[in-house]
Amino acid sequence: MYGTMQIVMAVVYMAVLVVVGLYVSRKIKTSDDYWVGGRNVGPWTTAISYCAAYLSTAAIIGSIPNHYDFGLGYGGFNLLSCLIFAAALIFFVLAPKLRALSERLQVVSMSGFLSVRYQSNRLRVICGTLVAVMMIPYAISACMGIANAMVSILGFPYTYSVIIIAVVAFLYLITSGFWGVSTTDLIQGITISISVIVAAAIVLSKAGGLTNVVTYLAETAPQKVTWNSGMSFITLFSYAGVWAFIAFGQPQLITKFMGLKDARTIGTVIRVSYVWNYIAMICLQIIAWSANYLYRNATFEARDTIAPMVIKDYTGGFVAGLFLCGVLAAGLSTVVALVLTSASSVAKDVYEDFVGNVRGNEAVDPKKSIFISRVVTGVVMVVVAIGTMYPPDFVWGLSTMSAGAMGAAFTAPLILGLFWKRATKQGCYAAVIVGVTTSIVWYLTGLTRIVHSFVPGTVISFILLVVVSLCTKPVEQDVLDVFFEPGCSKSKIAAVIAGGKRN
Amino acid sequence: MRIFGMPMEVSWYYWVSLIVVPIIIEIVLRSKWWKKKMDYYFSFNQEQEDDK
Repeated sequence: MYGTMQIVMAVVYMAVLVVVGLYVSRKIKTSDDYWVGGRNVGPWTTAISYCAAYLSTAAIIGSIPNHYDFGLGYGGFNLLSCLIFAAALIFFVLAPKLRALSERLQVVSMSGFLSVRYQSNRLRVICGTLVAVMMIPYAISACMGIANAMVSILGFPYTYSVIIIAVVAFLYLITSGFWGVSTTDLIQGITISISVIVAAAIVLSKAGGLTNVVTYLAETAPQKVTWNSGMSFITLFSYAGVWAFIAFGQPQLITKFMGLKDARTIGTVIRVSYVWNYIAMICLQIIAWSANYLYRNATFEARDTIAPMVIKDYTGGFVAGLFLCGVLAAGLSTVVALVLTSASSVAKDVYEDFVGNVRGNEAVDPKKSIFISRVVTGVVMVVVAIGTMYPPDFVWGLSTMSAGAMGAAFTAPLILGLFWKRATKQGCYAAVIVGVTTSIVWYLTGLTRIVHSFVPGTVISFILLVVVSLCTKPVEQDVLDVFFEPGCSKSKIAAVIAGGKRN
Repeated sequence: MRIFGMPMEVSWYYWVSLIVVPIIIEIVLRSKWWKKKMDYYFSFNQEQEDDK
């Protein structure tokens, strides 16, 4: 257990988040401001906000044991695939068009986008409900990660830790929405990078430097310094590479592109995202390899304790406090992004859009809409807090399954919907429903020991979307023009938006 | 050859992600193709003649 310095650092850090959230809340005038920051978020904030949501507590606390167990081949593959796909290619491929279309069509969520692209209001409800349900176990597991770190570093009781996390996240999330999340994510991202850089530098120096650590690993555990860490390629991909691809179907990450102020600044977003991810991931790997040397490759039963333990045993009190702030930052940024996405699926997609479409837009009052958004955000946060306090035994598995299922549901409809004119509503229904089902069944039958459940779900989803689309009536040209032609009249766009509110 | 004690079969992951990928990204971001693509998507939300 640590002393008061770490507690003071954690309290000051959380107070800063709440104050910044309250300050930013003054900018909230419409529900668009709440959900996508009025599409006025700068490139640096967008990049770091994306990175902070991508690198959750699971990555800080959970990835270090994997790097500890599997070594450099696993780490290198993980680094290269995540940087190429989740830090660069996702912006090159998805961000420019998605940003442009989300402004043109006035959509603020992935479900909203899919409903307009495939001209189906029912799809909005199906996808919105799916996102709302799938995000909750994911958020619970991230919340558990922070609470466990607070228990092991500060010695706080678990229940108090959960209450503190929930109150802090609730306060700045409910007041300032996406804007608050993006602004505080900038602080969170900077905190994560400083904390991991300092911790890695100190732990590495205690271990005698990088050459000493790698030489030790090569002598004592030679498989850890082979290109595949002694695994088959499929296992290596399943453990280390799949997370790079899952990002393409995660609503909480994709929504970040919609809030960007100017699409022409995407280059800056890519550069910042790449550098930030490189530094953070390398530092986490260095901490893990140094722990291999410092603990002489010992086996730990409670694998999640490796990171807090090495920090506690080999760095000073200030660095331990800083590292705890980094863990808080990574976890909180992920939890709030997940809660916001889950709540937006209910408040925006189900209430504002679906109910508004049925009763008429005049029935939707902007002030009432913001109020409902805040209430739903609060309710989801309470559900996540209760779930974290009384977690079912299978919550970790459930969150892995949720991430895989969401990726399997949305990757194909999103990518093909953006770039393939022949993609149809029927194809999208088939892809979403069968993709999710395959992914969940694959997980529940234990086939994840062969490959992650995201892979079969996504492959089947792509195949079905293509086959069913080719067998059904093509989408009308007027609808396609809105998605594939820059020059489009307001009346045509309005007609397509209205089409997404029927059927 | 070993750098920081790492054999080439492992160290290439780190060098490629440190040097090669950023160079490729920079070449793409500075290319006319990317600028054209950005202008193209920017024009999606410019006011059209028949809207005025």
